[in-house]
Amino acid sequence: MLLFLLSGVYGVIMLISGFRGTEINGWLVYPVAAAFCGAIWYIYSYKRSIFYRTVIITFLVCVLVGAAGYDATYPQLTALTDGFRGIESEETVSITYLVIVLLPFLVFIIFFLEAVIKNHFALYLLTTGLLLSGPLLGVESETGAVIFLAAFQTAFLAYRATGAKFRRKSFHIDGRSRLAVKCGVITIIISAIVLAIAAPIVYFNADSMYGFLYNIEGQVYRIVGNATNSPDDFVQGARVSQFNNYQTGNEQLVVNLTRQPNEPLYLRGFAGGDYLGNRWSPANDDDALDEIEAKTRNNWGMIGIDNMYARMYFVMNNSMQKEYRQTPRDIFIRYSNIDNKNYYIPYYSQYENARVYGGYRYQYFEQGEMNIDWNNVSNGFTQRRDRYYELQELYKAEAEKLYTSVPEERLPRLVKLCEENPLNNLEDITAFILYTLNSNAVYSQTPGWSALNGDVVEDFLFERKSGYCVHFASAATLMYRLYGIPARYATGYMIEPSEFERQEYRIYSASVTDEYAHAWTEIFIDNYGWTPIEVTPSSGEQENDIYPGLSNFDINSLVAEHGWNVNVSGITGEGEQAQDEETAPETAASEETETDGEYTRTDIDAPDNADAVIFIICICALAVLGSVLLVRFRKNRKRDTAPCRAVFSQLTELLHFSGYMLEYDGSEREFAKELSNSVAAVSYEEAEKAVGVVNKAAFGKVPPTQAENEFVDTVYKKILDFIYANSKWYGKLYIKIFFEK
Amino acid sequence: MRKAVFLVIAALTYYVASMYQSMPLMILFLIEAALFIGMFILSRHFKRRLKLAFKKNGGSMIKNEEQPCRLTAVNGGALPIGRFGARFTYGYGSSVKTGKVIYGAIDGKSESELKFTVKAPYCGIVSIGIDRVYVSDYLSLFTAKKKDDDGLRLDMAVFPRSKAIAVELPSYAYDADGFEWTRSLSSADSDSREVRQLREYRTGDSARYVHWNQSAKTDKLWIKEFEKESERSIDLLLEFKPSGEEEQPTVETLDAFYEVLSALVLGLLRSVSEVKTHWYDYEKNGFESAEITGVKECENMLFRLYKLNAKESGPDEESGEFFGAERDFLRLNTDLELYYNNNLIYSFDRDRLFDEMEELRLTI
Repeated sequence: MLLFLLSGVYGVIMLISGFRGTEINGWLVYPVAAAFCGAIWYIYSYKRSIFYRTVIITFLVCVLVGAAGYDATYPQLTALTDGFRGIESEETVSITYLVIVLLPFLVFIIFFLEAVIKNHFALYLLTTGLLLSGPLLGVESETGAVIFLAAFQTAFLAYRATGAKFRRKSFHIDGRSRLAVKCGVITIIISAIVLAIAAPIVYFNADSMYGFLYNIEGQVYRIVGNATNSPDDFVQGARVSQFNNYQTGNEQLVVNLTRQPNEPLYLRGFAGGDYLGNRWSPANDDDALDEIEAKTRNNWGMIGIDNMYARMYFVMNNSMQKEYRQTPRDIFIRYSNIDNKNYYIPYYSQYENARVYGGYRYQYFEQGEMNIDWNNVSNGFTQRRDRYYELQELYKAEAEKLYTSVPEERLPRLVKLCEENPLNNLEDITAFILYTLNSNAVYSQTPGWSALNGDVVEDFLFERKSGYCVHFASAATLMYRLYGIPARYATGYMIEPSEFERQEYRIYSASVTDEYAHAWTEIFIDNYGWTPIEVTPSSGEQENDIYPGLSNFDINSLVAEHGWNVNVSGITGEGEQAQDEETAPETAASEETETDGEYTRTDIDAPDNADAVIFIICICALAVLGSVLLVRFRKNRKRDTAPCRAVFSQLTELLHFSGYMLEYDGSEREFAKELSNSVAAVSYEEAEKAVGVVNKAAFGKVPPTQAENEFVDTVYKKILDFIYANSKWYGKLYIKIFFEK
Repeated sequence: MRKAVFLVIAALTYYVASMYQSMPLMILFLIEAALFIGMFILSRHFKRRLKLAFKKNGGSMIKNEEQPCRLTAVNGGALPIGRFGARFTYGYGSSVKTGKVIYGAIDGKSESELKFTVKAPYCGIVSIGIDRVYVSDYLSLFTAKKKDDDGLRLDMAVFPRSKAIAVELPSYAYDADGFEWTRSLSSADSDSREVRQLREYRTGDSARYVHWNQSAKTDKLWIKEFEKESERSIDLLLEFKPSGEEEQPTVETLDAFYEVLSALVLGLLRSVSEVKTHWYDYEKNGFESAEITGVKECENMLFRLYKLNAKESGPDEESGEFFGAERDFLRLNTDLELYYNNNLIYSFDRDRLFDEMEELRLTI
């Protein structure tokens, strides 16, 4: 039972040690925990009269020690609560002192519930809750914690179930405790066998095991979505989803073009302003434009500065001199879902009119068709060109104020990453961002959940290393901003040119379902304004430029120039870059995942728990050794106080262990006769005399003499020798340890 | 409930493990799943390995008194069984009721004894059986049930508590040789014993036993010689004649009958040395008798009657012709009517039977 208790305490300690930003000194905490467990068990078993007194005194001592070491306990408590709240501290804080101060409380709670009031169910639920809520709170479930708590749970379940009535309290049976321990141990052995089989199965098939559930959940989502006709909300809007991305496949929009597209068509429905942690506030240019209007003394005419700004780049591109001018494209967008009132706007566009086939119409240019040259505008456009140019410059200044802010306290690791990689020009920054994203994260629509109390972007980049467009786009946007580049998070739809099919009347039409929902980053570029940057690896083949003036080829060159290796994780545990290509394969990756695109390789660090496992084994061995010594100590003490009775008690224990005379407990009249029949080494006379001496010790007025005690001991040794000689190897081992053979 | 909770927790573990892609939790889920299946198999295995048997096949007990019984459990498997239960049934004849469940636990390859007590509400032969055995796995997730196919059964004769009705004997009874004798005093009173005969005074006779009336009439001293109890007996005919529409007397009817019979016989035995009971055995198609001189014989007679009634023999229609006009006798039937030579002398009320037996001084 002590070992069962110990496993529960160790499991909880290991769970606590998994809190972010904290660590404990296991060499100190685990032995202390074992000592506390042993002490409380011993006192309860053998000195019950002083049990509660001792517990209260221990608590008082702990409170005093905690108060005396306030300077140590307070910051450790703060670190622990920060870890619980998901707040990442810059340095890992050792909470060893605090844990040791709190250990008696933990041990007492577990012991009290388990051994005193014998309510395992509450502890079972509590430990299960701890195990399962750990990941929700960003606490990594360590294998050791899970193993110990599983052992604790199942062993005590079996222990309590042995000799318990159906749906009612336990009943009395002889030797219940021994039998219960036996059942508990068997359950642990079964669990250990399953563990040995399950571990490699999980290790090699984890993805398919997770995927099985994702498929089911996706099916359920589709069925519910189709029944309710509700659109996907994992990608659309301001929220950066912490969950998997499932789609219903329901049509959301019908997009018709008058010309065949050559580039992916980005339809922006939302642009993000401030990052609020797991969501973005809507971008609001109104104040900035009002300020610009005030600065320029309100000379923007009837059309209004906001309208001018909204269509500026389309108008400018459409006002080039004839030889440079491109023909604008028409796009008709119609809602399939009448509840959808959001406008999806193509880049470099101008709103034309509404109520076109139940939708609206824009004119736009593709990015490759943008060719603004401020010196080559058509003749009648020069005056407006100047005002547009002024507007662009003023807006750019405002955008730098508006769209470069980052809540740094929420993103300490991302801030640290950017600070450790100082870069200045946009090309290098873009290359670094793409390199960081692609070398550290893989694209997956089912990356699982992120911790509910943490930041989804940090969790994506530093913990899960897996996500989809909203995570890539949010991370990239924040990194641009940390480098001082105005950037916005945008969501909407992205439709590949291949999705458009030619219809009659030379219309190119695409049915847009929620599977086309997408998120991306947009940065402000001269002569283009807000321009989408594709940072999600799975989106398209990235044949187009990253942004005007920066091709994929350029990115590869820059990455090589900086010595970054996309095959090696750009983020290590300490936030440092692993740059040594030669040592990289040895230090990182045991696994490589390759997906679409050039930068979509990632490496997963192999777990390094060998030290912890060795440590746990050592502690278990120590605990077992301690238990053995304790048992021997108890037996010896008994023998000192009541020699022949202790020997006789040991004798019956030995006989039962070896399978002899199971139905006898020594008090029977025919015990001596049966003993001589069962054990050939002892004659009936000897057995009878020994039993007589023991009876004399138990009930006689005069205690047995020294010679009589020695006689009982001699008989015991004869029996011990006989049983030892007739036992198997494990029986002999047990006899050697527990019966002083 | 426990199974449902365990399943819900396992499902939650799988969900959280998948959503957070946690290998340790996934391993935990597999352990839970394997335990779930393993415990199911174990419970079935235990069911096959566990054998129950009563320590003895029969016995006797007193009505409404707790009687200790022992059940032997043998675990043929190597693994210990942490919990099992046996549901008892008890009943008289064909009416069987389900009783409580007793529980036990047993080590591997061993034998264990379960002690329990039973209490029988009626006189008769009560059959104690085990109709169902429950065996649980270590986590008590599954309980394998098996019906008792081996006919595990313990028959116990339930006797009434030894009570005696205070009886005043009939005017005529017979000695061991069938000679009529005279009585005038109540048998329950030791100071008024029956005078067997008068004889002439002999030296040393106490003046206390002088029959003064007779002495005055004959002018001789006559001494009263009292009867010896061992020489006296009385016949009691038992009728299992159902009243009304009942084809067979009910357990309650028989219980009341046995109570009255026992108390009557024991009451009679205070005054006579022997009570001869007679009843008609339908199977043997003849009368059976029992000579009762003490409690033990009374119980033996009751046991014979229990067995007779357990056979559900037909109604007795010929008992009236047993003695004819030759001998006087008492007759008791299942309607609790007591006759003396076909004259009803008392009818017991079943509802207040015990009060009646306590208070009654029956003069025949």
